[in-house]
Amino acid sequence: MTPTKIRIGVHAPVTGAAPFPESTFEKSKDLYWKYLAETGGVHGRNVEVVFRDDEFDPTKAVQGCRDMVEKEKVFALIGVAGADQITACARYAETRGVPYFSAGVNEDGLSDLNSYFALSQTYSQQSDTLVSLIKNTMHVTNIAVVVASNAALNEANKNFIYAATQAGLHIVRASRVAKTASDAELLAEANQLKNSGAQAVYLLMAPVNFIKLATNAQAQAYSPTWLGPGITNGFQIVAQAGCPSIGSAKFLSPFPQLDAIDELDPNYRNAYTRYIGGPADDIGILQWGLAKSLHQVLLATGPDLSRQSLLATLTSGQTFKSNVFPDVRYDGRIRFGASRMHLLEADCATRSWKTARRFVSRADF
Amino acid sequence: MRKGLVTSIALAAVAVGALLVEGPRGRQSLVIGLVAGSGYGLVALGLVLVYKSSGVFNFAQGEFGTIAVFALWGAHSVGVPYGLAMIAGLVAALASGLATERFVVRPLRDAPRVTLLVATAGVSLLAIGVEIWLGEARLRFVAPALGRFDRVSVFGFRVSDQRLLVIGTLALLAVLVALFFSRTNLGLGILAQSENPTAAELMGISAQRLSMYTWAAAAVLGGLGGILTAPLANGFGPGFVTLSTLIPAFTAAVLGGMTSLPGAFVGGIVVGVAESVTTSYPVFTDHFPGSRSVVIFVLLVAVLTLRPEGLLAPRATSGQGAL
Repeated sequence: MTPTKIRIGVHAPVTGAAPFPESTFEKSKDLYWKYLAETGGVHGRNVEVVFRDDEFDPTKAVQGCRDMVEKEKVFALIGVAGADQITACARYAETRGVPYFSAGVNEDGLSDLNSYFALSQTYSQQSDTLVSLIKNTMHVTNIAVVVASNAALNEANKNFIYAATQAGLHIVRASRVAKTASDAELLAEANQLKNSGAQAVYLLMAPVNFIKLATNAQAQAYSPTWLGPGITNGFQIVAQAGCPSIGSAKFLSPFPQLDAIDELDPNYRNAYTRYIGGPADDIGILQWGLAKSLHQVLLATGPDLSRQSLLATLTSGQTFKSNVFPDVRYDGRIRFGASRMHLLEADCATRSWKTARRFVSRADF
Repeated sequence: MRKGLVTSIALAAVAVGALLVEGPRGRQSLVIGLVAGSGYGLVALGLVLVYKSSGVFNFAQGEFGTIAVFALWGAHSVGVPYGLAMIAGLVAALASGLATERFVVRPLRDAPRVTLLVATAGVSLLAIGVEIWLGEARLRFVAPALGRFDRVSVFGFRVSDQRLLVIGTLALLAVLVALFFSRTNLGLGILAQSENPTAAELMGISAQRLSMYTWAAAAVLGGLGGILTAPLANGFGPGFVTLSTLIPAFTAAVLGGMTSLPGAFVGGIVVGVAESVTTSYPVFTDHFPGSRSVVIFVLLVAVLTLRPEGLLAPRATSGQGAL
């Protein structure tokens, strides 16, 4: 960091089992900061973004984060998606005292860190909202739970099953599938879900596996409502690839879709057109939202910026509002400071996700 | 060979019988194992072909398939009819196989086998890098050659036409390639060259030409595996076949004996059934999450310990003459 520049490190899986379209990601990784630079930056400083592809691999993620901290001298780190990679990098960042931000993922492995902050609800925090949706809006009782077998998701899996059981839902199948599940495994899983008679399936897995599972299920004439917490399953590319198999899938999301962004933040589309060109996309919204949330924190910290002052501002108990990501509020103990999410619903007629509800919580269903 | 075959058939019969008798879940697991395992078997066939002729574990086999899928997708995207696009895919795979043979395998012909093994891994990494560079790391979608999935149902499990095509192609190729090695001069020449290169050269067999043919055939097999299985995955990207199928295919090939072409078929189905069973039964899913990989590993270790030459390769020789 210099008097005129703040360097931020970002990592995301652009290759591997949960790939983002790379060029789209590259184009929009610093879109918000470019837009902000024209309005004077953050207290006179402009933000520069450096990026590493973590390949959906925690080891690669730590390598990338170490590189960004030690060589690129970044001020803070942002993890875009991928529970294992975010956990691994956040734990590394803690050892170096580097502030680390991500959309909410797991809590295990992150709750004891001082420098980690979730900018949206964790998977576990989303459980109650999803259970209310299933029970009170969808009026479904028989559900299945399918979660990737990475250890980082154990607590989210346990938490959802507990919340569902407490709410009186009947879990007819609960299974874990490999992070890199094979064709046979997903074919068999689809068949077992069909045999279980589940009307809705809670999913927590990489988009590639979700699409394959839904496709295999549809081939077996089985079309439950797929739903879950998330970040990446709500990407347009999942609807483009997964429709019609994913039907009217519903996923919570930290960011709204293209149908809602103009009302929530009219600057996004204009900035996209101006700095990137072509039609705006939803991956840009995710990055715009992450950056805008961080911007609110930087603004509140003031011109006398240091890692210590940033952490002090974050834990001061004030609320940070971006109107793209949900509002967040942290204190000395709470690092998972969001209480609402957007609800996305697949619209296979247009092969896209629609923002069915904005900033919802359990009480809204 | 005969004793190994009898033992394998007996064990398989017991396993199949147990699954058939167990109930609908067992029968469906069997069908799922067959349909999914065929995809592994198809890739394994190309691995066996190269190993059989040169003793090399070909880590580039998966990328021959991925290159074919990219070519199929590219051609079909610009309006080339699907059948012609498939041929374009196979031609691309063939070209990549020939290039690998000419620029990597041939210069290293006299190098230790481990050097060639590492070289093929390098080819694979290079291919993935080029795919990312030229085509960007994102999901692409390729339509199936046969689109219906409600025509055939076995034990209550629907088998799509595309999956039937994979099974049929694998069975046909396993037989044809086995016949090629046992009935044609070219096939016998490849076997002779792999077992005793010097003697084969003295008999007028051109090692260079045979190597070229072998890699060309393996690449086409890999390409076929790619273009037939990619539509089943509903999305592919750089390194698609390598990441999704190469490890199960290697396991299938080793289970089958690395040199046995029918063994690749059987090995693929064994891996498929093992994965299917461990996903279908609560004893695995409830108590041993992640047991799929463990069961396959145990199977592999058991076969390598009890019958290192594989289920269908002959016990007496190093195996490169097996069919």
